[in-house]
Amino acid sequence: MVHMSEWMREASSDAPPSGISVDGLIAGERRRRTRVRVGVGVGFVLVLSLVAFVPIFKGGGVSIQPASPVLACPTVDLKATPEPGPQQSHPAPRPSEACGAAAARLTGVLSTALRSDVPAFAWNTKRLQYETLVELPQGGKIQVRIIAGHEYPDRASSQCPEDADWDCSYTVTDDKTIVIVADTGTTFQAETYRKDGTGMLILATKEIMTRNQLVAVAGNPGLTLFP
Amino acid sequence: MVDVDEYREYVAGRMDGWRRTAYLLCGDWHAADDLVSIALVKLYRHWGKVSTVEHPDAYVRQILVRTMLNERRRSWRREHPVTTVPDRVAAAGGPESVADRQMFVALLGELPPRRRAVLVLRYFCDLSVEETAAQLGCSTGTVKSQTARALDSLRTRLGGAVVVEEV
Repeated sequence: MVHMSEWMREASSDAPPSGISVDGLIAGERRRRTRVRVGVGVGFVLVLSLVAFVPIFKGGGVSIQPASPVLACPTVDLKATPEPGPQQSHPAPRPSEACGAAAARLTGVLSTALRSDVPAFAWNTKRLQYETLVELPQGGKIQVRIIAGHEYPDRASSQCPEDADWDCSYTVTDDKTIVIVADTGTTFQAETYRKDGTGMLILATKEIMTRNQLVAVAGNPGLTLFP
Repeated sequence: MVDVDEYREYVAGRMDGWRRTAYLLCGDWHAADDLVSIALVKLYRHWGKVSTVEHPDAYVRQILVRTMLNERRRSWRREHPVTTVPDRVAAAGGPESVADRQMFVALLGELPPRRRAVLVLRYFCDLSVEETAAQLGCSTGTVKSQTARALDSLRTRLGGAVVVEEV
């Protein structure tokens, strides 16, 4: 016989210490407000500048040429409704790198890390992340997803709970990047948290690489959205 | 201008209850803290208005539930590999052991999000059918049918009776 209310109270009674910092949330929200105000001001000035300068260019017969070729941004799921990024208590940093350039750079870094040609990273407009799926010639698959604005964990160890029923380990690299690796039996899953706000998830079949090799790829400093 | 001290005091007194509600909604303490953090930020943004209404708790609860319902559509962060599924054994009495509690939360987690939310609002937050409908933005009939289906699912999984107290 199960008493629903009693079960719910009991089931939620052993809460771990809260990691929520109310002061941190307040400070983050204040920073966001400041940024919004500054952004609105800058936008207003830019619009005014455009209004003022466009007639000059038109009248003088001056054409505006891009300084350098702009790389195309490969995208997936174009019709999807954009969604916010991962849950976090502070506004997400925004990469300044253009999408096409970032996709090309990440593709190069991953290709070097895997010592194999890899499909180009594409920008997923629904999940707001760069992603690619590599099928290696020697067999096996590896999927890489990179997202901006992930919160850096307070403690690396908290990502591998003691009572986890899967094989979980974590590594902190020299640049303080945290790499969590979970072994599900047939696959590895690596979650990477960089100090700069980049988050990365790698799913790889186990025949491709060892845990240490996966950590090396996941911890590669080039796989960042804030180079 | 936000009265920060008043906000802090209000939040401090209710944080534990919100975290427990969020935990039952999403089945993971880290995700629960994320949900509560989102709710706290939104509460702070609107504290000037919310603090003047009679039941600010309802506002926070609504954010928790709606954020959880939206959350199911996104974020790879929630993908956690598991090697075993929780045993589905019939339990007697209260959830005395850690395993019992985890099993119950796992069973809740197997319910569709809206049904889970209905159960949590009705039997943990002690809301009436009408209040639950208002929180979820649906009709009282929907709340009743979702409750009945959710309880049926739990009865089937637990292999026995589930007793609920009318709210």
